[in-house]
Amino acid sequence: MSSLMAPLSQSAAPLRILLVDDTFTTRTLVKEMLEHAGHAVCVAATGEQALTKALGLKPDLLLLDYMLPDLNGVEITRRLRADPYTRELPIILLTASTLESTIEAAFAAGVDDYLPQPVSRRLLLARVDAVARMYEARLSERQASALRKDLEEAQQVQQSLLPQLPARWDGWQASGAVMPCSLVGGDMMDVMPGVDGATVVTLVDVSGHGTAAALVAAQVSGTLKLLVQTHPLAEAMYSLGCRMCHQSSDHYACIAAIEVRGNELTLINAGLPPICVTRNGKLLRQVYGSASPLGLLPTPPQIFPTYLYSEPGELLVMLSDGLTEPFGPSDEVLGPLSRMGLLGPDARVPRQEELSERIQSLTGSSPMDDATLLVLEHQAYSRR
Amino acid sequence: MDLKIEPHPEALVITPQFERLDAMVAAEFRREVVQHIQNQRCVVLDLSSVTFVDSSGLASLVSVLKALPEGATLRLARVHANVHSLLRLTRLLKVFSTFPSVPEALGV
Repeated sequence: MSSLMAPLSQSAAPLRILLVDDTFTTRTLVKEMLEHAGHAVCVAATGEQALTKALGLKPDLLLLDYMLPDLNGVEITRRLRADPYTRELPIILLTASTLESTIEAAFAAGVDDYLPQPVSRRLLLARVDAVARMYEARLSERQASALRKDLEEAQQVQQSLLPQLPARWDGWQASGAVMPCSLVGGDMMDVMPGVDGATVVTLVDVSGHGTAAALVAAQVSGTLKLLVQTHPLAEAMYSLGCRMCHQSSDHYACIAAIEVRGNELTLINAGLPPICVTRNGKLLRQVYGSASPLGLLPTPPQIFPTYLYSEPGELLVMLSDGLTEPFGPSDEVLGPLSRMGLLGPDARVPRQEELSERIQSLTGSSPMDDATLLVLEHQAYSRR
Repeated sequence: MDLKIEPHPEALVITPQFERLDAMVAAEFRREVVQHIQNQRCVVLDLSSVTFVDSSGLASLVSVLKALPEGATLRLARVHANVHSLLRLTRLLKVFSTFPSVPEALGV
């Protein structure tokens, strides 16, 4: 290569450029400069041809001469900007005119840049690059914002899947809050009807977080909801575990579930921090390790439910590991419970609207994991 | 990945030289350990340095177990109290055998 040649364009990707000029010499010269820099060039000699080819060939960039026999560059730009298919096409105007009014009109019509003629090779390639980069930045910004909008919609869907809390039935009240660490998360909870008039309260925490975990959490939670309507809790969990051990997903689910039938409780905790049973701020009992997290082992789950008879005034507290980081030993569970005011002399259940704040005060402003708290309160003797 | 690999007559002893077995390192940990355990009859993971295991780390331990050759055993030695609680909460103490020291894990 001649040492007199300017350095080649730094553009990473070659562009497909439509060059519009009515002068054969300019077309040939500019085309050669662009091709030498690795770009693919097609040409048009009139305004009408430019409009047709801009639509038909969908180039990455348009180099447009101001003076054409039929239409001028400003008019062409205006028409391209009015068409949704070419509204965003990057346009550089080539003009021999240095009149400010011409250049101003071109920018007003929507060109991205202009180049004085005769065209300098160095300047041509630099501007082509700059305009292409600007276009790419605009495009990725739009993609990012589309993705964000998508996630915001997913967040609304996920929130709509959560139960209306507090939920009250038959002397019991469930309150709780889910705080995902991003827009959507892998924690879900539900309060749903079980067999023989029972109510089942569940907290599902899928390993990992973000969109993939949210999809799995919705599926797990939905399947469990169907199963508990027709199976006692232990059977429902077993059935869910069998399905999950045959799935190839890398995600598994830690699930705490309580089936409430009058004063009789069935508790299953598959991998979440201990379910704490408290009364008057004192810890009565912890339930954990009823099964391995569902979907973690390739074998059907072994489930060891805990059966309890509950007295009014008792609280049952379920946490996801985001609050104890990691699936903490009992000390790490009791600490957060005390700090949330659920243990100790002045223990009382936070109001539903206070729960999110309490969780946030424990996890900090930028939590690393989704965090969920679900409190089941036995308020009065059941009518049963 | 910082892993110490020591072949013993009874078993291959693998010692992670890091504190956190979490989402950042779990995939690499699984890949590297699985590479080393082919054709082994017994593998001992000395977890004395590891004080924290998150949900991904837990999954990586299970996948090492799944990747063992037919009939081979995986033993965990010197498991930190936090990690031990995690194994208890997830009922995995039934799946992994744990030993207070490497010689005990080796059965010598």
